Amino acid sequence: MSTSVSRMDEDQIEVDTGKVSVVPGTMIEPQCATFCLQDEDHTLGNALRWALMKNSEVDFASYSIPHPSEARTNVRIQTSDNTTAADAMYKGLDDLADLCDHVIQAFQAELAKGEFEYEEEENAF
Amino acid sequence: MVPEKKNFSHNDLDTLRSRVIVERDRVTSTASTDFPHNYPGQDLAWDFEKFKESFKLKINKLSKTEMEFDMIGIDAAVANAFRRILIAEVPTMAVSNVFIMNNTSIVVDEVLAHRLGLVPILADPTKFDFKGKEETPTDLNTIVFKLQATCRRNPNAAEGETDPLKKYIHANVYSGDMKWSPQGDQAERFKECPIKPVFDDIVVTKLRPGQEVDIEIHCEKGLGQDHAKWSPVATASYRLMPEILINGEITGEAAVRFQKCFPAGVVDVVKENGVKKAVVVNPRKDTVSREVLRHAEFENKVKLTRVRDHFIFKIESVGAIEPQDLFVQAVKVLMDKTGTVKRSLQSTLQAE
Repeated sequence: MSTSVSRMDEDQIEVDTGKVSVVPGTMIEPQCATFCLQDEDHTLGNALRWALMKNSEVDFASYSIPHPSEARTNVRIQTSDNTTAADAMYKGLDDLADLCDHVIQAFQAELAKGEFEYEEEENAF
Repeated sequence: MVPEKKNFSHNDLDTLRSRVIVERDRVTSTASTDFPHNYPGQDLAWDFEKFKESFKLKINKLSKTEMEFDMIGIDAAVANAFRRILIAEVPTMAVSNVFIMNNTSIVVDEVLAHRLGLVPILADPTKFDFKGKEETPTDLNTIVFKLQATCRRNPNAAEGETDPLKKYIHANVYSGDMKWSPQGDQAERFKECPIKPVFDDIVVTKLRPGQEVDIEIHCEKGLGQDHAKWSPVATASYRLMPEILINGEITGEAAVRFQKCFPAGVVDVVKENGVKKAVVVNPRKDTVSREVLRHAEFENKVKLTRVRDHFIFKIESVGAIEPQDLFVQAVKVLMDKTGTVKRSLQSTLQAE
């Protein structure tokens, strides 16, 4: 799997290079790494952990927030020899994006069908 | 996909995998275990096609401010991400700077500013930019309101009138007194839906004759994680679908007693060959109070569970953004997060 960003993507979207880093000393071999996500919390941490665990090449995946007053989340990944920690991360993120995309489509299709109770008048106020 | 109807005796793998078990004084089997290598002979790895087949979304109720829908076939980690994003990471516009030229009302400046901060603003946040700390306010990142009110005696008030609202003019200052002052081309951009507070009847402060407020209010785009005033929802929550399993039959007067253990509409008592019989008709309405588990006569006759991947999701909007738009925006926020992290990781690893 290629890890390069295409020129077009680079032009279109500003890449925040400080967002993700590899925690020093955790990537002894490509199959294991702890990634540090800046300004992320349980929202992405736990969802990503779930997506990583859904990959059968991932032996271990977990996340932690080392300190409550620092806005960063660590994600630990260990994989089999068939892949690398980085590629598992890419796959997890892609799977999560696919899932979100389908949820939006299903939601909008259901909304368009209009088979639900609609309350015009708001009784709360 | 979750196995449909279960019979009572199940303490099998299917139940443990798909149900949270509610006992008299504890819950068991709470964590999801549908991961690869967990169960021999079962794949359980992520499969987008399988997900598309099993995922179901059904909207039950919708109004201007509230919506309820069922989301089936998704893990709690993802459902919870949607919930958390709705509360803390969908942007809205809210008052962030209050310039008080004059305030002789009973409410002191800082309290008044805080009260104004919590007034929800009806404006489309997608049409605004976030204002950086060092950035100056422009028509693209700031909404300006003027709040000017002076209280005086009402010359037409009846003699001996004691109600301040009748005795004085402008005794109460309401959110509706905030007058939008369009900047740049804002008047043109928002002529379809002029910017205003969501509610006109929020009391901001009270005045007596001679007192006045003269305030300029600046609203900015922000996130609920920075301050609750930017949260687009009163709350967003979900609960798992309750399930009530009866072992064999509950008949006669016991059926009536059984029915009384649940909220109205959950259990029906039907007559079968002249004998009363309890039937579960609508477990959705159950509050899972576990009352039924306190009765010795129903021991081993009933089992309460919740379907682990059936979320009854409720969104209660503050009113600035309609709930159906909120959900789509929330899911998009999660999707954007995955893209941001992926691109950043790629550039980080490239640099190494």
